Amino acid sequence: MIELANVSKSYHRGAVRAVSNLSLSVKKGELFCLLGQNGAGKTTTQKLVAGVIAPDSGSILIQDIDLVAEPLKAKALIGYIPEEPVFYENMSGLQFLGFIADMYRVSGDARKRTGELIEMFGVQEYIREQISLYPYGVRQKISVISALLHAPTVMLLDEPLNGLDPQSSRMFQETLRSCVKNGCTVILSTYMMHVAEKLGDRVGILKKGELVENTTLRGLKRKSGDKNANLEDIFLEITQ
Amino acid sequence: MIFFRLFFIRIQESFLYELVFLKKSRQKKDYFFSLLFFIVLAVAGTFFCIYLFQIYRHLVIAGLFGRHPESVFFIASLLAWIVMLFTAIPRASRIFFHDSGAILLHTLPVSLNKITAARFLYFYVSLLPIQLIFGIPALAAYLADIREPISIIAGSAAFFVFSPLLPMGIALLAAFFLDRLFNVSQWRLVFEAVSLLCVFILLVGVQLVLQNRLLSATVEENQMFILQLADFLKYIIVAFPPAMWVASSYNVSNGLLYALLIPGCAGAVNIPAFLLIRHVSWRREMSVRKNIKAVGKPKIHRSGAMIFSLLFREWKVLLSHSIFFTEILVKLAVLPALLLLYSIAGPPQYIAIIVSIVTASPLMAIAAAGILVLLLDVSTVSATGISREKRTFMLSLQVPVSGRVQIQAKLLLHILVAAPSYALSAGLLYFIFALPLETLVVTIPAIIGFCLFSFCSSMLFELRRPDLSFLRQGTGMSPRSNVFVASMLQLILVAAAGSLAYAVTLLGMSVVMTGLLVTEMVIIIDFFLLRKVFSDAERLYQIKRFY
Repeated sequence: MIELANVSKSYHRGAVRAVSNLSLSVKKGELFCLLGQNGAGKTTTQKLVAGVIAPDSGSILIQDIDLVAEPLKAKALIGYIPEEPVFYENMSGLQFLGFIADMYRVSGDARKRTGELIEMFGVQEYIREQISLYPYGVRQKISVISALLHAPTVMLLDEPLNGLDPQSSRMFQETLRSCVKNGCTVILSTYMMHVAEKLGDRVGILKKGELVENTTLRGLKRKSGDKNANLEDIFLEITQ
Repeated sequence: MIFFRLFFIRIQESFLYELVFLKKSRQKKDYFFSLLFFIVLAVAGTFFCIYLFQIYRHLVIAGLFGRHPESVFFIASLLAWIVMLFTAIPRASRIFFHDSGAILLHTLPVSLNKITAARFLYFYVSLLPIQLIFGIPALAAYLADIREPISIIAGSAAFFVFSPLLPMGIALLAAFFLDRLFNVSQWRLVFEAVSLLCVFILLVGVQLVLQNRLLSATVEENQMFILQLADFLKYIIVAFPPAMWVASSYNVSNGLLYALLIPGCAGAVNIPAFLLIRHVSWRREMSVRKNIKAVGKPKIHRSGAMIFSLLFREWKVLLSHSIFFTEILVKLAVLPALLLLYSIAGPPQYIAIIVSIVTASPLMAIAAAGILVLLLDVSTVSATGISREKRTFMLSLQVPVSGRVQIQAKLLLHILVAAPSYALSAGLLYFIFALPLETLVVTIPAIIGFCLFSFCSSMLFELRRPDLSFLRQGTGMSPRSNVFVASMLQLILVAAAGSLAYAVTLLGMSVVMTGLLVTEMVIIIDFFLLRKVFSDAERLYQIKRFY
């Protein structure tokens, strides 16, 4: 479970307020979709929860572990796919995944899972080549595999479907579903409204760093007063 | 107009732009470090130019004996061309065949001629500093004796302006053919290392020959040697006609004719290169290189110790750009390479002079030891250890690994990279100066102590102000203010250790005991500094301020 209480974050010595007083709770086994326009604060929120940046104020709990007080314990539970995946470009995909597995202390049978994921996402023909040679889609798949290989219980996904081919996209969504079914907590940021509509248990809409909506899809429809409205229409109405 | 826009965009993107204008320092109002950087650069550049000037002066004198003082420009051209040729091949490959902005450029309504010409100009401008570094001391050495305005103007135009076009054209053609076989731009490290090695051997070789003869000889023998050198210059000058023509363009009687020959030669090499590149670079840049092979079932390597995985990561980051590796290698290799050359070809008289200077007083011995320590310690291995990670630092923050462990891997890398240099230098010093082996009792712990101090002093500042947003790898290394600050700290420690050593020597303590005392002091300081480094690392790596 993920708990954010009054979290704020600003950049450039307070000149840009990226996230403002954000309070949010995502339950175990829930897939929470975070929506918002460019610059709304989705990526900052993800980075805050991933422990990559520190909040200016407020607290973040990952399965009751305070992320600021015990970051290593909390990070061990998280699988994070950033919007722009970062790699050691002169490592091969296999070396990179090996490195990530070592960092999360993945060993024994769990390590075999990496091979399965590589095959599942169909990147075996690239895996021994240097990452710098990979096409965009393959890089994204490697990022997905690196986030899944230690079987995280919390997943933070920032535009994870970018660049994935339809097969991989479908497979990833299925993996995500089964992960959630097994108790994994997920925060998914996406521009793809149909994906949010299809996967999300709950939807949050960020506007200028503030969470202006936090409800189920049905709740959103009820609020908009149009039962037939789709998420895209509602989103556009709220963010305009 | 479009041509100049294209050219200035290249300049704007280049390492030089970021270095020369130190944009970030200006933005951060970090003037102190910019000033420090320029002072260090100016001092290093002046020393190198004086060193070159001394060698060139001897060549001019020898040339005057053989009535060809201009032969100094032959040597200067050779030196500049060697460096230019080797550094230009991978650079040409990057500019003409692997330009990251190629797709954008080719979608613009700009003719291929303009794109290629702008790249040509940029390529030429980027090579000019090499010609100036090797050429200006030669001109200064020549002007000390010869002042013939017309021949000097004609010669300098040929030497400084047109002659770089020759290695440039050759490098371009070489890059064109080599790039068909492999991506030359990815092998920049090897090319640069080879060029530096050639120049190093050539320069130190000439210096050793001069020292060997001038230190030993009587006045008559000296004159004989200079005559022999003049004959030798006359003999080799014909072996490389273009360099001979450049040198001859300074000739008082027929220099102008030779000066005109150089642009002609440059044109003969560069016009075909231009036409070839114009047609081919576009096709090469636009073709997708797919060298991905199908492989069997992938298996991730067995679970290893985390520290070794991190060390592997450090190694990969170090190799991720040739500038990182070359700079570290060059800095660490200079002292052992110099010592190796002296151990092989050093004149015994010269070594005797050094020994007599060093043993003249305890102060001199301590100062010599201090200089040696500084020569080895000042490196960018750890002073840029975090900055090198650049964007991938986010991965370091993302994984559940403590700062202490991450820094331990960096310490391991520091030891692995620096230790061979320390060991080789110490071994060669023992060999050259026939030092007593019992002093190893001091030398070995001293090496460990100063190596650790080099790491701690560098890392302390790096942990406080890593630069993860540099645009070019070059500016992520030497020009970093952390390198200077770490060097200053090392200088202070060496001065403190030297003062202690001098004080106890005056009290009558033996050399070995003095060494042990100083080493002990350094190791105690290391202990506290390491603790500080690890605690700072814990803070930095948990959640900090970078993104």
